[in-house]
Amino acid sequence: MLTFHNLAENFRFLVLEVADQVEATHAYLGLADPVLHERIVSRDDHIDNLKVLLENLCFATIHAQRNYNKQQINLIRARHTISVNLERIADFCVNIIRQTGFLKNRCILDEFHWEPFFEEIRPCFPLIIPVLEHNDLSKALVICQAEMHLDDLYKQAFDRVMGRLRGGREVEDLVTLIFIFRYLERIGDSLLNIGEALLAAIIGEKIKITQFDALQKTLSGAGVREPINRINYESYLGTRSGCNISRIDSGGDPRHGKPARSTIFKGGQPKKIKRERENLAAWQKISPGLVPQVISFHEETEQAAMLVEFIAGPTMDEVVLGHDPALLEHAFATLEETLPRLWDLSKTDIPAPSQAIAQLLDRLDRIRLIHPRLFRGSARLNERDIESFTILSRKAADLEKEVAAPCTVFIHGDCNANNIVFNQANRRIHFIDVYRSQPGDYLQDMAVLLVSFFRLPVFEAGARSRLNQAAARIHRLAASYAAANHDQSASFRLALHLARSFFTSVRFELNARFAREMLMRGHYLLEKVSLTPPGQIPAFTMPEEIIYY
Amino acid sequence: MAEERFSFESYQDTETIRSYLESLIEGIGKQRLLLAAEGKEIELNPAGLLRITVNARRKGDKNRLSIEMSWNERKKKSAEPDKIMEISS
Repeated sequence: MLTFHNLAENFRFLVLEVADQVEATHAYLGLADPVLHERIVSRDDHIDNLKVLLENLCFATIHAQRNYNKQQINLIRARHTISVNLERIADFCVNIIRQTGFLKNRCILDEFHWEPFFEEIRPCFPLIIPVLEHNDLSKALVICQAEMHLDDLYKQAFDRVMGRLRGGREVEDLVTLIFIFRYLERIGDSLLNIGEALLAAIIGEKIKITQFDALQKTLSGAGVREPINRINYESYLGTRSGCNISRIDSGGDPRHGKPARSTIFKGGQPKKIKRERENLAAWQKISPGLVPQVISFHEETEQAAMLVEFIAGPTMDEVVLGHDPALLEHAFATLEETLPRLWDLSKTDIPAPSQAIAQLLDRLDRIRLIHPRLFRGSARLNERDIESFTILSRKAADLEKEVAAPCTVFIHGDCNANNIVFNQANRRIHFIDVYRSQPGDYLQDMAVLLVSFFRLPVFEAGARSRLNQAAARIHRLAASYAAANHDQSASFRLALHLARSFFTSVRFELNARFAREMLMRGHYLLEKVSLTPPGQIPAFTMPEEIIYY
Repeated sequence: MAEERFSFESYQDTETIRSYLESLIEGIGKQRLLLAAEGKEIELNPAGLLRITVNARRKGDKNRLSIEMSWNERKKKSAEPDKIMEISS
């Protein structure tokens, strides 16, 4: 019968076998004993089999134990990842001893420091089981850090070998040495994967060591003193920004009825995180309280992180898809009041050029990669030529140079419905994820918002009708602001921005039929725009049906 | 037998659709329709007896009108002169 006990027991065997394989490799490098060589090679098959057995046990256990909770599933996932990486380490051991066979002068090995590599690798194996059994975070970190130390050792060894290579002697042996050190360094990469798998098992979410380090420092900067494994950490896996965005609940004490404090942790490239921090500050100046407060910020060379206030409340897409008409009305009325106010507060008289087509062309490769067949090539119906996407976008780009918004406002820059939160308690609209905020054309935000309603993959008639009504309200809001600001090219620019948003939205849409629908609308708008003589731009009318599904 | 196909789908306003249909009507009049997309061409020669099917449907706010023409191409007469059976003695 399949039990978790089988899995745990075989896992323990695999850890011991691989640890022993590393010991044997260490011994073999010191003393080229052919018996050891034979033992290492033959044991590799056994380790391969054990790994396959564990893989089967992991999947079978998950399949059989349907009542397992997330924590138990995470432990099985960790065991699986660790097994794969342990087997890889055993392979590297075999590769190392095979490489020594190519050395003409085996004594050359002793002239380089290979012992310290093993001093880093060996202590990791006895830590794996205790970390899994006792959620011991500090030991998981020791395993992760071994990779960094092995990288340093590899760099030193590599530089020494290079130095000797310049002498021009023993070239073949020196190249073989580089291969040996490279395999030792790759053992470090596998140890890091093992360490990160253990971190994921403890924290409950996949996290990279650099992000974990940033998380710890940011929490410490925010005055959070709890051990990190007592904090509730929930990653937003749907994010496409390349940043790690997670919700963290800390400081709660259920025994004394003290609720946890929720914050949002963002970790990623310093450039992105810093820009978001600057934009948060810019929005706070324009409208205090509109965006979350920054609680703490931490920056290193390759990683930056910040902790921001968590804003409670439904996002606008949740408001529309929900079944609460009163909430929907309150949220939209507040949005209709907030957006023009924000535009007025940040407005300057400098015209804002339209950049929709440039933004579209920037993302074109990615869109074509996902949907290569949905772009219109040139076509002909008898004597009637039909222009291709390439020609249409070129014409639209030329015409776009002729138009600008009459004023520049500070825009959200990624104004999807799920980046706007409605806080019912204080009846306020909040912006989140303002990394792309900048001065620009208000219609860019409106087009993004309109298409963000359209592209929701919800096809139930009632929900679709609510999405269409939401789009109609946003369109009316944009038209009314355009009229109030004598924006003569508003319809034309909205068509350009909508075309851009329809095209770029399909990057994340794998439903071919729905993607086709959006791309046909994008093509239609580009065609309509490109047929407009420059003098007729103010008379251009954007066919409203295009925003309704 | 290799199949040749042409397919084109887009959103258009009635004015553009009219210009598409006019171009097709002109081709039907000349018994030569040339359709091309993605570098591939198909030439159709509607002539003789053709079948036309017009279908219209309205369901709620969804409307559909389809016009379909089909015909068999008449085999061209062989360029070779008819073979004559010769009987000799």
